[in-house]
Amino acid sequence: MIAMHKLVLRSVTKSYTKGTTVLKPFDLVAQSGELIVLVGPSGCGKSTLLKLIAGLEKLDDGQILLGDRDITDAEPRQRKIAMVFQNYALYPHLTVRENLAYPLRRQKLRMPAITEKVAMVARQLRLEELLDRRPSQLSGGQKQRVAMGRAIIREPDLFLLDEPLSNLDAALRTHVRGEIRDLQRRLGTTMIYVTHDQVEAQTLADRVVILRDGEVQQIGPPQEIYARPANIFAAAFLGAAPPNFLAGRVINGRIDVGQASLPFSDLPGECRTALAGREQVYLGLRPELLRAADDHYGDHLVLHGAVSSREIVGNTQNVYFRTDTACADMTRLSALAGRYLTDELVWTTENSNTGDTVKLAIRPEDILFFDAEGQAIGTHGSDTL
Amino acid sequence: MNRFSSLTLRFLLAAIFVAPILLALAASFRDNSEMYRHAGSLSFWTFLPSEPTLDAYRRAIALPRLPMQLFNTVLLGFVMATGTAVSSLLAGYALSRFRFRGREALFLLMLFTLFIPVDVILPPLFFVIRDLGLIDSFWGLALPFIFSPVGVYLIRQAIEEVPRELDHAASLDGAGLWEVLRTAILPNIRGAVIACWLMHFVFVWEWYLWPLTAMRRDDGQLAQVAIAGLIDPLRSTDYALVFAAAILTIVPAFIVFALLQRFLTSSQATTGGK
Amino acid sequence: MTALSAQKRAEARIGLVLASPAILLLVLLVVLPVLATAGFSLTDYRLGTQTIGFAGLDNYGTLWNDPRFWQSVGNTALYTLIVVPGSVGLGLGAALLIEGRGWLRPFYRVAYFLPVASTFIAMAIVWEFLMNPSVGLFNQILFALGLPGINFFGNAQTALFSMAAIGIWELTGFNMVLFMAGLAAIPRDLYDACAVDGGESGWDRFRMVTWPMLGPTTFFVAIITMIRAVRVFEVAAVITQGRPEGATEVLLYSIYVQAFQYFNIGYAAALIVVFLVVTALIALVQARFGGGREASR
Repeated sequence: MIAMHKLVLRSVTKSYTKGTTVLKPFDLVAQSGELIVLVGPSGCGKSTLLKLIAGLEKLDDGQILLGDRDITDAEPRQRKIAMVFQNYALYPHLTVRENLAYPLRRQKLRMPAITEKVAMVARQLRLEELLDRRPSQLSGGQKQRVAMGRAIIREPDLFLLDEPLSNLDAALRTHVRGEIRDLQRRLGTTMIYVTHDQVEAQTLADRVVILRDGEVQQIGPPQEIYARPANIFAAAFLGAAPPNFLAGRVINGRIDVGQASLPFSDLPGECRTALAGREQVYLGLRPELLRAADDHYGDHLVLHGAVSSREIVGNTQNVYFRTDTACADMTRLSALAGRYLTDELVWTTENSNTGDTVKLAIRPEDILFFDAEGQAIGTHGSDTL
Repeated sequence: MNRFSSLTLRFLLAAIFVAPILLALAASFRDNSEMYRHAGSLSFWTFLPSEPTLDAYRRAIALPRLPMQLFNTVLLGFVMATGTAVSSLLAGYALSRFRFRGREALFLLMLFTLFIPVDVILPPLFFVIRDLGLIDSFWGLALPFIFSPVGVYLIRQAIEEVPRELDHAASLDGAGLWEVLRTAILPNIRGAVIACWLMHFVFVWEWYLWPLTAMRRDDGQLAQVAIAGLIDPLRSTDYALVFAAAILTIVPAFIVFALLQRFLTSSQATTGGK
Repeated sequence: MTALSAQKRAEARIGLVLASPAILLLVLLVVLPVLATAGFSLTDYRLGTQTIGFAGLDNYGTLWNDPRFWQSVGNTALYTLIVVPGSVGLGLGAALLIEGRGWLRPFYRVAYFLPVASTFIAMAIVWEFLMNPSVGLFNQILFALGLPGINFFGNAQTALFSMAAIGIWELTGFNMVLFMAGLAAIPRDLYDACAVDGGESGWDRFRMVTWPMLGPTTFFVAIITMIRAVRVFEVAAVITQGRPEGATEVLLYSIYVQAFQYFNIGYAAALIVVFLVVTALIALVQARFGGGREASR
């Protein structure tokens, strides 16, 4: 049975003492069965938001609805919300069996019913062998599964996951990520998933919410944010590596980027109108969308560079290079992107034999344009709720 | 330091600490006439009774009020330890997990009173207990010490070591505030609670001045105070009796400590941190 | 909005309810008596008389000019200064000696702990026996070794030190138990890390790992010991009555004598206030050196 529980957050606001705002008025509607991933750097307010939804912190203002219930002022235990914590928060003094049974015992369920449900969940999550162990005797992945089990056992209306994979090693992380996705699909329960890892955001989310300093940057499906980020921050956050940023100058129907130049006529129509009348713009070039250029790339933006270093990751290669093409003010850009950026550019390629110099091209429609404030030009971020 | 010398050192140091008690134990089996006989010279019999007798114990048990007084000490130990553990648990929980007006002030006050030995404020305390009409009563003895800043400090620090996520998980799993304390926190600070309990249990055996002041009924008095009354500097004291009674008094504390001592070294039993 | 602040109020209320037994007892049994004491110290109240007269700072003036008071303060301070480091140090040493030594541990623990539970009055008599200048065991041993005996409690030079030795004996055991708990909580891998970093000797291990990690425990133990040391009373009351020449006159004994033998409540109250001030000062110094950080965590 799929429970139908939509989560609605209306102008949820939170500040701690001393007037520091942790969360600016926040709106979100998570459709029933949707998996929403909240991403952002540490301190962006994502964990606070999760605690507000769970009722572990009190909001200053706003409203939270779950299904047809207003849970704004409900106690955590009345909310029918289950949460998986970063450190799992398993009860160290209880066995796996007792940990799983804990929420049911709080509901005053009868013993046979508890036993049956524990057995069911244990089978689902392959915990049968571990039932009599204590958390201290479990590996990270096993603890994670117990934490998930404790969350699903009482069939909550909403799942909250707070960086559930951050304590696992890389290989396990990929595996468990898949399991979480499958489980959520199967149960059909609405899920809010907090992480700082953009890979998790891209692979798991129906929709991603990007947060920075308590403020929403963009909400949308991951592919859409990747293709049309609302600003430099969102562009830098989602993607294996942040885009290469260049400064461009708009002159007489073309954009000059150092020695290279890009006529408006090669750009998509919406870009053209949005760019007209501006002077200074930033260009974002995704490293994986750069191609080795030859003569066929007539309408592409072409960059020349000298290779400074390489990094081989499996069958792909990150080639770092410098270009004389006009790099932007990196301090300013770093501030807009919320991360440290250098004027070294990077090209991600599967081509293994690259020389000491590179000549790279990118399709005009793959270029991201931003204004001096870092807001996207021409493409409108999918900021619908 | 090699194995043998470290073994010797350990044993010697321990022996020095037990020696006075063993001497008292030995003396309790002596006859009073024998008490000083071997004192003038060092010999085997300086340490051991030459003709061991249980006579002093017979006299001690026959003391009309000693069993009652011993019972008082033990009962007070249990009451004090339990009262302190409970009040410290509640206050520690409040101080660690709740935000309320005056919390900081309360903790600071607590830290400061940590440094006030209660015996020092005995005269005014005496008036408080007298005005409450509790002088010469069991509860009058117990009340001033049923709260212990040391206990609160100990338990607050232990609760601080319990991750808050555990509370959060429990409250999302449907636990109310009491259930959070009972099912999520308490089992994880068991060591500290037992340490607190045990500590305040044995502290009762150190009491002297307060019961001397606040309890004037003989049958309500504590054993250790009553034993002091057996010592009469003006006339010859029945030392064998004093020692026998003293040994009898140690026994309950000894048993309880021996049973519970292993909890004291469970890792979170102490004291302001990891 | 009102609902929100209502929730905050609820949390505050629960917190207060939980803390209320502690607060109530704290006020009733510590704050009130301390305030009352401060009040009494400004009067000439004597137990048994009907009148209370305001005496201003007269009691303090009398104190100030009483050489026995200064002796009593000095004795208490010296006693504390010997007993606290002595019993804390010995307690730590004993804990280190016993730590991790298998099946004998409970035995040692009980051995060191026994003095805590021993009926101290009876033990005082044992000590009096042991320290008897002519027939006491200690002097017997000294004589047997061909050394001159010590007149432990008869000599003003040695009386306080003899008392301090008994104090150390009484307090060490409990400190050891607390230190053992602290030692058990030190993660093993810190010692491994120390060894990897070139810490070879036992001293290195102690200096680099044990001592820093024991910081909070040491602080706590030192506080407890100080509270118990500073209220030294029984030996003075039972064995020495402050003799010889006031060499064992300690503050709590002076207070007791003034309040319950001479019924000079006003004067005793002034003594108590001074006592509390001195204690607070020691506490502050200790918190500064010992770890105010740990305390306020």
